[in-house]
Amino acid sequence: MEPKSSIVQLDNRGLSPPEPMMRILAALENLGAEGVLVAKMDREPIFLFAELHDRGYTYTCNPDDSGGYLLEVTRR
Amino acid sequence: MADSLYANAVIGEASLRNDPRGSEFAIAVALAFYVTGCVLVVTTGPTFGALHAFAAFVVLTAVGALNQLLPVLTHAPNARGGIVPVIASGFAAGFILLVAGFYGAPSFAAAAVVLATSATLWVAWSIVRLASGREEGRTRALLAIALAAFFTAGGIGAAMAGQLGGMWRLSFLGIAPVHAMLAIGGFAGMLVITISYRFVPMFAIAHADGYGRWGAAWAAALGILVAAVSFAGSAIGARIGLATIVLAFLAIGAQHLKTLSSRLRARLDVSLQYGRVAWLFGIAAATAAFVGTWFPALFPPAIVLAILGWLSITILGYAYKIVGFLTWQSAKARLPAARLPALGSAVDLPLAYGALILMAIGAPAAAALMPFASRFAQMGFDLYAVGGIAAVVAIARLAARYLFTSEGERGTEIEHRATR
Repeated sequence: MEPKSSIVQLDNRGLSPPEPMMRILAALENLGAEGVLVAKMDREPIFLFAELHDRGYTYTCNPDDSGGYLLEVTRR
Repeated sequence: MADSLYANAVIGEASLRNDPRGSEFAIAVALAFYVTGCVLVVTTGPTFGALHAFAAFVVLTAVGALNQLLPVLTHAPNARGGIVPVIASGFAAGFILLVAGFYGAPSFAAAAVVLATSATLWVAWSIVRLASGREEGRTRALLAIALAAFFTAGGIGAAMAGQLGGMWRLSFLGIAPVHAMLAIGGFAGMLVITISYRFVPMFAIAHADGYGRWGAAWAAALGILVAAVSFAGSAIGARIGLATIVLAFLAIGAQHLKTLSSRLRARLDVSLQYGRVAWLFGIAAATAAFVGTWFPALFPPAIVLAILGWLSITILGYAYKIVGFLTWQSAKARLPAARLPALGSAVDLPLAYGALILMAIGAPAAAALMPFASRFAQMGFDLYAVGGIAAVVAIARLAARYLFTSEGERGTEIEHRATR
């Protein structure tokens, strides 16, 4: 049985664009309704944000301690 | 990591950002020239003056965009603040003098000096930056070809302007077709082709496997070189060169379609919609030029299709991303805690697509009617100009959306929280 609130973690650091965005969208396909996707990023994926919105997700993207960004995506 | 996709770096990594104020200035001036070109083509028709206002738009956009892209694409060193505004100001002054010269002002000689100086400085500076880049060998090589074409086209252009300004008696006007081919195809065309190989996969969120080793881009460069050299006197050479360009453009179009068909983005965004329409104009322009080697009356329509259709629509489409990104970053730096609308949500899509429709109808109508009925062709130019100005208004509204964001504003339901 799927956990009520699963967390999927991705480390997209060091990947060449648009690979990070593609990995995030692929992972969201398998994210449960209550799931959370957490991705470590080198850069803010600002061209991804509208796509997330169109697919019914909300997100936060904040700087992390490593100099990159931490993206958290959940279903609206 | 040679030839890896670094284009997306343009959207982030503050350490790689490259004098964004300089890029903003160059692109703002470029858009002002574009609007000027639209106004001139309505009020005075498709004159050399209007044509060179559009040329200024392309050149100044290239100055701003390359300043932003070179470090992130190639890991070339960042520019010092102030260099780009100086170069952009030189080009702006030179093109104002040149356009004024075409409308009767005694300014050709000054235009020749200012534009030749600006072109030399910009090309030399950009080549040094390309040489110091560490990544993306193909991108750097193709951009170097584009800059070499620009330098040669600029030299011929300055020589012609100097002649028109009475600086010398030697005549260079006979090689105006070489100038046009190098400026439109060699410089602006190769710039658009090279950047599109990076932008299309990024904007579509798709793999770039379909581009292979960029053979079609190299074929296009070769065709442009052969056609440009042959325009000085060999019709057969011009045909071979232009046929190569047509085939290369078809191949590049097919590659982009393959990339778009494998995209993960649900809908094509405004930049890609503009790009898709623009590429049809590119193929049409190359085909018209090829047929024009038998029917020279088709050369002016080919130039219209290339500048108003292919190049301008591509650049305006990418401007939605470039201007949006620059102003988004500016707003974020000014108001770190503000909730900013996502880039795709901030574009006035009805206005942007309405503008595209007008341009997509107006430009081919003008080009098709030019050889036969100038009065009706002018209606096509008028339609195009309205669309073009509407596109600039849409881009300006996008910029204003971010530049005038206030601290407590909630632009859309999409949130972007920067906590520090």
